[in-house]
Amino acid sequence: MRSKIEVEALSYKYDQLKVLEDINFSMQQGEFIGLIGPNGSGKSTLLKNINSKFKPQQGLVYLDGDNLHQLDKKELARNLAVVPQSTEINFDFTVEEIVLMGRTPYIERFSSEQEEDFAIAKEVMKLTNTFDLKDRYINQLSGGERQRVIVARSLAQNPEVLLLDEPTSNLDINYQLEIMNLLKRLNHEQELTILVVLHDLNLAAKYCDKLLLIDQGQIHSFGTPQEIITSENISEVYGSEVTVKYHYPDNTPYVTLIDQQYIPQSKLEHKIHLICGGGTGRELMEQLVKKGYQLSCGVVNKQDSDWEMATSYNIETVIEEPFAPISEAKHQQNLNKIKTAETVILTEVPIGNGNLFNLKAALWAAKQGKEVIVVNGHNIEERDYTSGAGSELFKQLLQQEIKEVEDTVSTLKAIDEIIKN
Amino acid sequence: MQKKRKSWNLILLGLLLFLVLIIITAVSLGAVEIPLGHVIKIILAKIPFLKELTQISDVGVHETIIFKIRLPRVLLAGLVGLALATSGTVFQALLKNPMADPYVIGISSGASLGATLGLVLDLEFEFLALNTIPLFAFLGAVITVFIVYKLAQVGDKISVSTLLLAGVAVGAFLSALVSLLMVFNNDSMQQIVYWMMGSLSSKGWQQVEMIWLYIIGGYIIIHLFAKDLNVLLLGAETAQSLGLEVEFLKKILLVTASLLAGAAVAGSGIIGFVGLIIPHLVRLLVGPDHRILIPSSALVGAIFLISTDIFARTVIAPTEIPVGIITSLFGGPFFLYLLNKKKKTAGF
Repeated sequence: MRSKIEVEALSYKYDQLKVLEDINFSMQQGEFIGLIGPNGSGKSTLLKNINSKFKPQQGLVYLDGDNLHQLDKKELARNLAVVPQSTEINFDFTVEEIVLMGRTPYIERFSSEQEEDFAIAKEVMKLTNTFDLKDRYINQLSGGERQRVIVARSLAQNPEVLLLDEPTSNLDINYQLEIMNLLKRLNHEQELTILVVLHDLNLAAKYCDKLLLIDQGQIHSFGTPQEIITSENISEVYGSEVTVKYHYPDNTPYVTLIDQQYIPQSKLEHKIHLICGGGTGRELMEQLVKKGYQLSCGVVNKQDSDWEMATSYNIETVIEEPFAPISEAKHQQNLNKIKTAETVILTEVPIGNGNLFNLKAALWAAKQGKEVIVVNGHNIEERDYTSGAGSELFKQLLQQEIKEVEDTVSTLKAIDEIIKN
Repeated sequence: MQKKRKSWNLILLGLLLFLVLIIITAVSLGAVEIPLGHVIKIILAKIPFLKELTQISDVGVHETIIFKIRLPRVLLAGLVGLALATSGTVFQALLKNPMADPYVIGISSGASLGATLGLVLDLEFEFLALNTIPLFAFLGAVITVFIVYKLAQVGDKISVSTLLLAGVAVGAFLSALVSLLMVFNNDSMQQIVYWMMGSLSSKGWQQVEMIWLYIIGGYIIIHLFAKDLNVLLLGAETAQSLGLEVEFLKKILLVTASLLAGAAVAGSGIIGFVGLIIPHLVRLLVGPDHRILIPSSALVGAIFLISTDIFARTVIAPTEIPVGIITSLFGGPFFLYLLNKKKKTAGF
């Protein structure tokens, strides 16, 4: 398949300032690509180089194999449409008049709109759900409605490629989704090739086939959202710490900021070891990391969802092979971790023969005089798959000097009390 | 849309009829009142083929009054009004600013300096059968628009408030230069004073011949680009992505609008606020589409200035008020009204 758009060794300087350097990438027909990167990284500039608003000092942009910057302006406008960042229009044009202006590249200088132009305007207004608005004035519409009208105008150009510069900024969340859904639909139904600059990484990850991550005027990485949205990439490019989770079932990455709030010293120095598994530790892990505790974790199996969370937060973790029972060696490692911790928490992890060692580790900690918090909101028998051995151990544990709590909130309270004393 | 086209044609036809009517009225009014029917007959008599249809007696004096004095003055008023209104419409669209007008942004002062220099240095001559004074006025206008534009430019954006301030400052400076020239050239003082105030008094065929070609030519160019003006209103980036040669268009429109303003100033001196008021009123009536806005503004501009001139020369006859004073008397408050309205609603 030949590339629809190909950018080859493109560099762009504004005055003496290098804004873009050696950009290479291509878009296939029907691809939906998101352009992401921090403010000032050159996203919009790249878009303007592709729509021929700016002329690159070096490098070329090809549209269907032709040098885009040498194409006749009208010819280009018939193939490639742009939705600019600012869509404010302060004149009493009606929606239909605005959409009809999208036909400009098809109308000769000395003629005016023909039947065909009106038909196409009607069609694209229907497509974008703006037909009912056609006699309304553009400056009386809501932000979301206006954005749909602008998309309709660009579709009236009958383009094969659509470039959009932050179409969702300044829109409420419902309008953001509406615009993105519209783009996705156009991408599927019309085989429109779309390149869109987006600020919102989650929106980008959810809707785009591929993401192009720009950092300081250069391509940092280019690939599927799963490949691009990783906590390493985000921290490298944006300089902020995030966790990335994956949505079930399509595995869409989802970014959450770890806010860097003020954390008191007593918390920062307190070491906690979390015994968990099977996803029972996720919520606590997130809360404890956010609150600034020094956290370790174990023993969890690789690929377990607790393991996933611990890895994304870079928590020191004792790891066992996927689905394997905990080995003696890992158990010893776990005990060593417990030795260094002041508080040990046991989550409501289901007990099987494979992880009986985790229960033993908690018991050992209690006997060592560590502060042990045991989460026990549900009856142990419901999550005991060892035909009694687990329950027996658990009862022994409850007889130790431990704090028994019900859920995450009471766990956090218990830790606060421990620190106070 | 067909319906809209039809209503556009009706609007233009109506305005055209009104213009003819006002021209005839203007010609009939004055120290010697000539009955309307008489005026029509005398004018028709000048048109070949129609001559035979009209039988006129007692033409002598009236014909002289009409053709030597009143008609040229009325035509001049019409041309100047047309030029100012068209120029104002274009500036308002290009600068996306309802306050723009050749007078407010200093272009009229630049044109008047150009024309004054031409007169003082005695550079008036025929160039390719065209009078050179409008050319000087035009040069003054273009240079001024360039300076004001550059002053208001921040990055690739035009700051509206800076543009107005720069226009006022540059305009005041250039007017001062014109006054200075007057001081050194006592003999053309009278002429220049009238220039500054904007008057159609004792203007005749000479002025009409001097400027009509520039104004009609300039208008035709603007008319042809009306469709592009609509798209330019959407912003430079959008206009470009719709296939327009934005920079080229901006230049040609800016130069042509300056030419129109320059020619108007060369014909009648500085007449303020016509370019501001007329496009506004007309936009309220016909909407923002320049394909109807441009011709309507032009016609209404002509009608307005002819009417104002009637008022100027009849209200306290035999004394005449310079027409520029009257337009400013109307225009000043209107400008304030716009400012006040703009505070309430962001748009046009």
